[in-house]
Amino acid sequence: MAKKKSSPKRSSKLRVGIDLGTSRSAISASNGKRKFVESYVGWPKDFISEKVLGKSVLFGQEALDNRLSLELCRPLEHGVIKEGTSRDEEAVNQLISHLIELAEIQEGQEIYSVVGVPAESLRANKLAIKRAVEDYVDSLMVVSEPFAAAYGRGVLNNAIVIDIGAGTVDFCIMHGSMPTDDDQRTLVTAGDYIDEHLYAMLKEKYPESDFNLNMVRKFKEEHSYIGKTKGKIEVEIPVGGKIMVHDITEEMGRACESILPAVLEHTMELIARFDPEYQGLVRQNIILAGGGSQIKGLDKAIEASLKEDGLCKVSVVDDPIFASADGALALAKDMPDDYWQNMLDE
Amino acid sequence: MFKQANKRQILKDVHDENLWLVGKRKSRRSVASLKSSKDNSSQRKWVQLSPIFVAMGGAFVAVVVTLWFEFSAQKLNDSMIDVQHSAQDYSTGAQSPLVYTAGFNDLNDAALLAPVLPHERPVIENFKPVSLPNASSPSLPGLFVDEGVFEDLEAFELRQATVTPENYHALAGAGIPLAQLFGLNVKTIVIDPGHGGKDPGAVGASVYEKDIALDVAKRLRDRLLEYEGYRVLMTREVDETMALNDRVNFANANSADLFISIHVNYFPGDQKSFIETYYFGPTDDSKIAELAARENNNSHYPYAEFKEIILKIGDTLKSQESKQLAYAVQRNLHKQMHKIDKGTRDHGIKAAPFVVLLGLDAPGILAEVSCLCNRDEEQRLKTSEHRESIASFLEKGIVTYLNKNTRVGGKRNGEKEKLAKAQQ
Repeated sequence: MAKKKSSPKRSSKLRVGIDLGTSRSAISASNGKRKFVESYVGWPKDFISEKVLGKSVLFGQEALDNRLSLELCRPLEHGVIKEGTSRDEEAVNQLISHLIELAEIQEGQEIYSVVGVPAESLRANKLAIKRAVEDYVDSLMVVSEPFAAAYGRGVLNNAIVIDIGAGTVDFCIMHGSMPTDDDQRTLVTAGDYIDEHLYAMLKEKYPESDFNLNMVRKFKEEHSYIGKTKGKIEVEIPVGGKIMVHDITEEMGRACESILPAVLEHTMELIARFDPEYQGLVRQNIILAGGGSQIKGLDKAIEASLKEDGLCKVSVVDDPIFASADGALALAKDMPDDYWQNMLDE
Repeated sequence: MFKQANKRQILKDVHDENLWLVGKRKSRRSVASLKSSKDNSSQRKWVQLSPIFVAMGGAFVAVVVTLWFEFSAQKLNDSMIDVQHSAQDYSTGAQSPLVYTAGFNDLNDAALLAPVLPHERPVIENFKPVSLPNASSPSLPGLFVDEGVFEDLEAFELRQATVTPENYHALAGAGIPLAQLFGLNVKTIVIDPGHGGKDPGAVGASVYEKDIALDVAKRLRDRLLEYEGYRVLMTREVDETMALNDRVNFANANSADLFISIHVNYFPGDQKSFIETYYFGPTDDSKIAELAARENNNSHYPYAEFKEIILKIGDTLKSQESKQLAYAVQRNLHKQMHKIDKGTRDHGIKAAPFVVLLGLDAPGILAEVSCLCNRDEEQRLKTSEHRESIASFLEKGIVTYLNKNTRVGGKRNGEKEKLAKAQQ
């Protein structure tokens, strides 16, 4: 049976969930729009560039593709706005504006937003987030990324969420109430750290080959793994102008593994913070989110390491790019109207 | 699924946590119109910063505030000479504090900026909002910041400054970073070679940890002394027994800004080399606790005093700084040591209850720079070249940390190339 075609219903309120990330930023809106963009903003270097590009500002992949003609900015270091540089604040402002536009908001709609930011940075960066977002929304709440991911998944009790992004790995323990600062941890050895590590190893192994960090990042996104991999990982890299196949299997594995010890250490520490009676439950409820959760074998590697101290189960969110944005949207939707109204009255 | 009661409570908590964000909602405008109009000055409320640090020189007073973000300052009355702030290093994107300085000619005006609490970090309770003074009531001298800054209070850092009317304009106008001018950077670095004298530390087949630590520490000291503006001290310069609390007291008595304790690891039965760096904090790891017990063996702290010091753990800023320093040192050290021995493992940065880090007023780390349980590494440690290399790796880590958090003074003439090399 065909679905009933509903007539477009004009709502005066739009709820949006935004995930501000170092590498990618995403928006999920209550009108059904879900979009993401690489967290790059670029401005044409001169009027010639602007004429060629036909735009005054470019975002995401388009900005990356035209980076030679642009002043390129990746403003969200460690998942939060770099402080002190007006250029970066302007870039984040533009990025937010772009995300809001991608959500196709109708003129006149009131926008209620929940923004996810890295856990430990939540407090110190609220002001910067507010400055960047306040121009475009009517009301704003800021929560930690892993909390948003947990909320979206409906797992709010006896669980640990590990959100592995480009700039940070965020840990958050969920015990049936709003996580406090003590319930959250942030590591800076995340995706970017893997990229740098891999880049250094490949430079050492293939000193004559011509590649950059951006290429290495793409290699990682396509081939990352921990543990065993099927066959060799071979990528094409130019050497003296000629495209050559390079074996990066071992380096890829070692680079990805480099973040594991710290992740395990913090996971164990957070498990130990639970009431001993519930630690067994928590061990069965470890959730990986963020782009880094897509490293093949990461969940199994964590399980294998933690199993020494008892059974555990690690699961990966289905859609890491949108997990936090969707969770933030769920929060925005569930937030009672009187709470929003209360804010508007102030 | 979680219980509905919990969910409701959580939503309330999120709401309560965020009230501050929406108190000044702007009138609804379209995205397009906002792009062309960014003026939000009419939305601002102002609050007085109190306390802030005041340095007095004769009848001249300078008020110094260090922030990790920009804010708008304004000249409040005629006695206020100027408000200036140091430049951010936009070229490298390096994050450094902005030092806001307000000079007053009239001591009485500045004296209203009470209470003055040098050496103490203000917390949120110390700040009270006041309404924006208008032109007809210029009786509230001081620096005023947007009320939103309340959320960033942890970023405040106040230090003592020495300013005179004679040097203020000359120095501030000379393009010298005010962070350096007012001594806000790290000035005193204390290096602590682990163990010594009757306490050999880890014992290899033919070398002692205490000797390696001392030699590497001396080399590191010599390297750091090449940077301008730093005082580099060592807790011991010879092979002597030194209690851990004496090392802590030495660092505190000399107003250390950074503390680096150098050690060499040894785990019986483990043949592989590994590098790890510790900062102070509790641990549940039995291996780390065992290591801490070994390193704490010579602490000489009575139990009551130990307990009292434990209470100081609450100093989160010190802890955060220590963690950052540990991260920078560990990353550089492992990266370079791994080039020498591909089998060197990265055991990362860890929190551990080392007494030598506990009582420190300054951020501090304990770096296990090498491993005596690996025979090849032990042989390498016997060579001065390898010990020099380790010192250079530590130097690079420390410089990386300092570059991120403060402005590192330039190296003395002829040494800049060396610094550039170290940073590569």
